[in-house]
Amino acid sequence: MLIPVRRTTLFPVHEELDAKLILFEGWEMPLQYTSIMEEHVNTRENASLFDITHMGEFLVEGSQAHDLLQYVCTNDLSLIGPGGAQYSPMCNDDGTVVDDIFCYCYSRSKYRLFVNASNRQKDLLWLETHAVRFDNVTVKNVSDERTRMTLQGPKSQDILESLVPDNLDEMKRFTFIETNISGISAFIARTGYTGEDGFEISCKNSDGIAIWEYIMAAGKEFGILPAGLGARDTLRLEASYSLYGHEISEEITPIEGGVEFVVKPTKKEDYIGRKVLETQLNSFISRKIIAIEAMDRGVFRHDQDVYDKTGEVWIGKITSGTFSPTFKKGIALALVNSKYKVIGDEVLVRVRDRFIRGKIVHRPFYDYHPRSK
Amino acid sequence: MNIPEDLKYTVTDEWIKIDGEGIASIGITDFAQEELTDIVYITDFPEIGDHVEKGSSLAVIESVKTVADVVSPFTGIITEINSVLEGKPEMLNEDPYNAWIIKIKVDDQGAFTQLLDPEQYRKKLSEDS
Repeated sequence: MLIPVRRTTLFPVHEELDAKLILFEGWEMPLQYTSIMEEHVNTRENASLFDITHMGEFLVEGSQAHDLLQYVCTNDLSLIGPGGAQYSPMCNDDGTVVDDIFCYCYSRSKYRLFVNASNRQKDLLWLETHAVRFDNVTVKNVSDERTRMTLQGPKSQDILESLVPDNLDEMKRFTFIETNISGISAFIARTGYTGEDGFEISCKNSDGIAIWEYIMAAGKEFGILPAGLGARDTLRLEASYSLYGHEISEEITPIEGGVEFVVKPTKKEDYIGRKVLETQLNSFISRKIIAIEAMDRGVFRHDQDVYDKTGEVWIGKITSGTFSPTFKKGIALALVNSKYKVIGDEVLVRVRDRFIRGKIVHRPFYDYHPRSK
Repeated sequence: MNIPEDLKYTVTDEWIKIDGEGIASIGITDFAQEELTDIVYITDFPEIGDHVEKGSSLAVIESVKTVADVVSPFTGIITEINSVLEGKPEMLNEDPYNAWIIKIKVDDQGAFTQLLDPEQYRKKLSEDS
């Protein structure tokens, strides 16, 4: 069967900009417009605009919306109120991860969710299946009606504040507003996936290109550039954010995957996976995500084998690897035997027919960089 | 896509320039460097004087996104390696047709007839896409 390639509403913009395109989870998306390196550095120094329309977007509504999400999420939504945003895994009974999502709370009876592109259908089915336990909750898939983009980088606020009526100084990280951009209705959240300050934006499809153009025009004096999925991946890896299917998956729990801080044992309600996850939180786990930087010239890649420093003992695998444009060396996250966790210790990574030395380092490689005033 | 008329090409996206003495300079094409994206390392060269087989790896190119071998189009002896590229791998992105990677004294010059001319290479690229 030939599965048709999907294109976002912003595709004409990417074509116009002569982006280099790749297929990602069935979507024809920009990999880069000029160069991954340039787009990465520009996001760290100025600001970049990314098309993230391939991601999924759901509305969960009804008097038991909160209850359903508390049941499927490992994080605790009672910690946020209206206008708040929270990151959470959704887990299976065995603690492995169905998906990691963002929940945006309007009230206990209305949430907006952003989910991974690869898991749109799976998540919808998962939520609908578990919604049956509750009397009054519906899950609406609005992914295909809406366009999503994200403005990331230290100049993001400077760019956006000329376009919105709101005072963005008052808008904290992990909050959102329903507002307008140059008069066009838009959802804006102060969240992101780069390690920089920034905003994720969602709007009606018919407004997508106009909002993109308004932001690009307002950003001109601040050095804005469009950026593709290549830079999105190198940025998130420096910031050590998990990528579904890599650091967390149907085979890896959030505790193993290094996001144990979003599993909340203090949460009142029961949730799927609780038993396994809380046992893992309180006991020895056999494997864990670590951060490694290359000591030799070489780039670590997904799925390469990791050995101890003698090269005799296999200890795990690289889950994500790249060349870091900021640190100018190979960096990787790896799921390894949890004995190997001492910062500064050496490991060996099998790269084709030889070993490249790696050093265990603090995770993240790049600390979240708040906007400087 | 830049495909100079005075060079020969391979299906694995190398360019070849042959001098009067049967020595072939080998690099990667503009298409190849674009596919790889930002090149950050070039490693795993053979030694000068090594005898290499057609199809063997002449170097490994690591980019931000991926890794690729430079595939030898010939059997022959390595006569020169462009070690400048080790310090400036970005030259492969910026000026691929001047950034030669390696030179080979080819055993059998008959092998040159198997290379693609610019027209054939252009056709190959358009068929791939």
